[in-house]
Amino acid sequence: MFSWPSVALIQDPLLVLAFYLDPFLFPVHQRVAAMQWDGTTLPTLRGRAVEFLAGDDASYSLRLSRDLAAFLTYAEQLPVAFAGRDLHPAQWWVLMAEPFPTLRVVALRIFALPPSAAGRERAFKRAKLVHTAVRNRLDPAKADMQTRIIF
Amino acid sequence: MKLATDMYKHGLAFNLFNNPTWRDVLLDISGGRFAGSGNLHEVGGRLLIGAAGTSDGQVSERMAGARTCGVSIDGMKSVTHKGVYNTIVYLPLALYLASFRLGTDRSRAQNLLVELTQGLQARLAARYGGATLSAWADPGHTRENQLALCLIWGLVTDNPTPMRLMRRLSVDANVCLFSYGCAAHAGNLVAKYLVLIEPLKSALRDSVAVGVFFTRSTRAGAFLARSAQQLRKAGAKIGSLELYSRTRWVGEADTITSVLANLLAIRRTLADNRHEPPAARIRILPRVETISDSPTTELSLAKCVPFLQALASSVAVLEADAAPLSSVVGMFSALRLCLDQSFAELPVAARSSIQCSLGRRLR
Repeated sequence: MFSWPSVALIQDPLLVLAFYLDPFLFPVHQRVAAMQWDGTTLPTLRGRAVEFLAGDDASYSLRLSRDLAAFLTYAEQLPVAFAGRDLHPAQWWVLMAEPFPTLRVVALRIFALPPSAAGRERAFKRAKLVHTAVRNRLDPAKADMQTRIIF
Repeated sequence: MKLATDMYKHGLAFNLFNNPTWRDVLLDISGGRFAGSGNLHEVGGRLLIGAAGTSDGQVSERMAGARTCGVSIDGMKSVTHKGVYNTIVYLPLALYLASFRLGTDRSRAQNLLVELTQGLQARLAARYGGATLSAWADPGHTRENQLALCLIWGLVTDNPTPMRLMRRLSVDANVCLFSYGCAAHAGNLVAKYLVLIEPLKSALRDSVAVGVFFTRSTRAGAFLARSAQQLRKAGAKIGSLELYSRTRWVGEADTITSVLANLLAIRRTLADNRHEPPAARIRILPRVETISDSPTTELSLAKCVPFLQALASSVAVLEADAAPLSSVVGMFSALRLCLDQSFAELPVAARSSIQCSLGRRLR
């Protein structure tokens, strides 16, 4: 039997919360609700994310959960044509999220995070432009300065 | 200064203006008033420090307007075979913060975390009035305030053991709120292991055999290029053969797709070769001939292409600049949904296996 190596895609419930906070992905929300991820569903993970964010603060937990429920209801009513618009979800939360003040703080911070570390691979590409085989005696501090200028 | 900055941006050497040809060109353009930004020492010293300061100022300005940021760190071997670690800040726009070397220290998680924290502290604390990175976790604050004060919400790295351990340590030390692995790397690793199951396994094996033969054999490659050119003139869409590279993300999709697109030209090359006089024929490997001439090859390659391309597109979305964090679950959920309803060309066993593998990617 072939055994799969441990390559995790969803390593933190906050990644699932980010998925539910994206108003442009709302047509997918319902369709994946029952999907099992290692025996757990996405709504369960979403609940865990809220628990983690709220910590021991019951009042904050209540406000956060209330905002999340209101947002999910609101997102369900968005027209289908709205999905996939060329707008970053963070911009949507800046412009449209007045009715969800507690969740807005969380959403704006979550959407500042990248899904991948590809920017870093691009930084390497730039660094290799500076520190080449011909310029291999370049002082590391100067190479770093020039990379900062290029990036 | 402006010319020197442009020069730095293109990775040019600091002694550019020592070159008499350049000096003459600049003197001609400026009517004898300007011969370059200065000598090696000026360009590599005073001007470089000034330009780097301006660049750092622009980064700081952007960061001053950000509520929070994500941080990623990764290591590479420099041209002198020394380990260099780069730190990138995401707002979500990626900004290069600094690089560091561990020197005589080993690349252990603890050492990496110390260097990372010191580097971030130096650059980020100015914005927070000298507060430490973990000050947000002060129990005196309410949870809501803690979250609002937390500067680094997420730390994202790839998945070697020291990096995974460093992610855990950084959360324990309250350097960041949470940490996670790079989703594009995870998607890439999914592709790497997908090609261990049939029919993707044999499709990649055959594609690599054909691709390596036609790129290593100069004459065979030239014959193939000629056939492809003739077919292009006749309207066929044929690109070049892409060799498999483990470092290219989801490179399996590119390799198999390119061999599939070139199959007609390959078959034509082999047929032309058979009609050459024996002395002028190229010696084609029997395996390559069998793969290329087999009527099932096209079908088996075509079966694998749609899903691999979907995976490649997903990874491309994930690695795009300013991609939102929601894409991680969104993309992989969408892939699983599509596996339920589409990709009928893949055998049921393969689809179930891929479903199971994606479904278990939770930790």
